[in-house]
Amino acid sequence: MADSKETIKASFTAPTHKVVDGVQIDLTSEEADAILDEWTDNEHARQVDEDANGYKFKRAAEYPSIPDQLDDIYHNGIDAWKATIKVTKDKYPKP
Amino acid sequence: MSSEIKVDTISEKTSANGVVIDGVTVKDGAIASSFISGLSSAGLTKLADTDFSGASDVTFDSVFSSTYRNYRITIYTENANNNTEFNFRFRDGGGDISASNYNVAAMYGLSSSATPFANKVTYGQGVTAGAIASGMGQNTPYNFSVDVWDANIAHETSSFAIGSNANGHTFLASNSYNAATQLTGIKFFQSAGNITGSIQIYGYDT
Repeated sequence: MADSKETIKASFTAPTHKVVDGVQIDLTSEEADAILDEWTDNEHARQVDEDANGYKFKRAAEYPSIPDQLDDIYHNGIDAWKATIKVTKDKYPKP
Repeated sequence: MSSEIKVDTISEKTSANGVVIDGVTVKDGAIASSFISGLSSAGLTKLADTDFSGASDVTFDSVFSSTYRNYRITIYTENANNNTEFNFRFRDGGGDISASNYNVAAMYGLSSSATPFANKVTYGQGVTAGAIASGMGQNTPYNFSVDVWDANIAHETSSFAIGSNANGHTFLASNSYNAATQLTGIKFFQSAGNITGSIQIYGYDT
């Protein structure tokens, strides 16, 4: 579940400077806080998306390759293939 | 009727003049560049080179111009936070361009996965920043090579990034900036956290 924005913001090391054309420029406190707020919004949105959709990417990365799945079906049948796929689906359940 | 001369060595008679063969000058082990079509505008010319440590963002102003049509950007970066994107925004005379004109399709391939390119992790049309990589690990070295085409020409600007990290994962990202803007600069930043590394920008023509 996504952390609160307060928790996320507190987790960052506050920015102190930026670099423009090779020159390091210190940030004002207002600039630093604006960047922290943007980082917080980005990370919160990522965590919300991860909660809703992360299982899709984790499943996709862990399923056997398509050739291996076809080979599994050919040699072992549909039920065996479904059992193999179910292991990953159960490992990363849909929320 | 054809004829042929076979010798072991042809050397210049007059020092510093080289040897001329049907109008092409060979001098000191090389062909004079003026005799190779397009060579004068070929190759990469370094325009900017910046190291940075713990920076919130890195900006290059006035790096895109009419001098070069296309640009190659090499990036080494490590980011302070986990699960982040490496983003960019183009710049013009008004500063960073954060209008909803970026179209992005970015994906990564995991060296540990049997289906390494199943992950299209960042994509969208009309978003407010370009993306070079996503799902990036904390304090992990990443290297990217980015080509930016037609940056300073008043029509759409497209780019393509390819990269790798310390774990052998692959990163691919296609971006377009979908507006007729003569871009002059670019800013790189992480979606969250400070960045450390170096960036070089080269100009080239095709």
